[in-house]
Amino acid sequence: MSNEADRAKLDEKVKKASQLLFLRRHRAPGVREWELKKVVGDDYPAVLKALDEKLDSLGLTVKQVIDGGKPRFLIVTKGKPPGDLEPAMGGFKIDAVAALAMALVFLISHGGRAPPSEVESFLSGKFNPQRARTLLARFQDEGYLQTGKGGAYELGWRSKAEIDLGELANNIVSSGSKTSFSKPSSQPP
Amino acid sequence: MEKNKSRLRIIDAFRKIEGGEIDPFSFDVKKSIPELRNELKADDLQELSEDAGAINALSGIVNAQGNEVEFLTASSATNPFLLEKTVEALSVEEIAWSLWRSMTPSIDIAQLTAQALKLSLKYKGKGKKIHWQERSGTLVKTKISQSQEFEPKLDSIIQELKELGETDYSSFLNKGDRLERAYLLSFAVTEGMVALKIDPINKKAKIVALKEKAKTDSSVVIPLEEF
Repeated sequence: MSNEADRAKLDEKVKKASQLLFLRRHRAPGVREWELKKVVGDDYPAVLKALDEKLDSLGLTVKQVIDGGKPRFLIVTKGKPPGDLEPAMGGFKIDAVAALAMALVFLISHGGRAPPSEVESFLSGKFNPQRARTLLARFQDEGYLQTGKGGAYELGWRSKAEIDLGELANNIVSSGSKTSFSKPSSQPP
Repeated sequence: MEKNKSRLRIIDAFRKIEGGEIDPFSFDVKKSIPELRNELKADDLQELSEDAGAINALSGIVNAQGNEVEFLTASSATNPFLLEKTVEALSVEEIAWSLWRSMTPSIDIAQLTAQALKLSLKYKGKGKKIHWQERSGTLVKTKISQSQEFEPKLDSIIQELKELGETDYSSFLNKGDRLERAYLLSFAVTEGMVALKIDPINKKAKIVALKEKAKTDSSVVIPLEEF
């Protein structure tokens, strides 16, 4: 087969892969390896590499993460989002974004796992208990948290894919030191 | 019971560690090994099974300790106590911004499918929750193959409309699967391939296929009764 025909075939597969990755068909974003194999074929790694090169100019990249012991692929922004953009995470309000940060910080400070009742109690410092429970259930649905074998909350695959936990901890501590020594601002802290 | 003291203690500790109730390092593995070794004298199958359970629990505890070291090394060297206390002192906005500045959010496009529309109408009629299996079922059916069928269907509906000329929106939907036709038409209108006209007096909607693509500049509300 000629190079041109190979190129056309690859382009067609890149289109399919981009549709599969961009169009959300489940509650959580991304696709599993078996879905990619089924739609794109066994050569999906080469197709994803070609797609990644195209996405680079848009400031996006294809990321692989392990979900339930198996690979999952999703498109994420390349680098941090611009600082002048308001926090926007799939319809989460700003209080939900804060609640997720609190849950993650609590897990970080407890070695990556904690009983649901303790996480709920920590969130109840800023949210009413019912709201805290609802948000935690949603974070599980969206893949940010998961329940481990013993029933404890653990970091979900999506937190590992989208969030730099070390940087979150540093940002929290640096925001805390600013708050301690200066007047709080309503603008991006 | 006294005989199995170490075995039960190890299994209980492992259960609590798995449940996140205690720190994996609160359990002294080194001290437990000789104690457990003294108890491992299986006389029958039941005893053997309990011995295996205890050894499995002990290895699970060692694994949990390893995971914790790995996690703490990868996530942060920040003092956990300080971290929790700092979060408590921050405002909701400050916490949200801290997360936002440390993430690379995933990108996708939300889409409304014909199946989702059908479900919404079903919900609207009954006013009660739809079982999750039914919801999942519709999602499973929404595969990429549908998008491959989409364009020919869209072309066909526009061609049909071209042959008919200007026609009543509702009666056009009646010529086939109403929801599917409405779904396809919504794309045709949005793309400027079909014009949707609403009579201001009798509120009747008419549609006409356009020879050239036109820009759509307004949204039109179609009453639910039309469906």
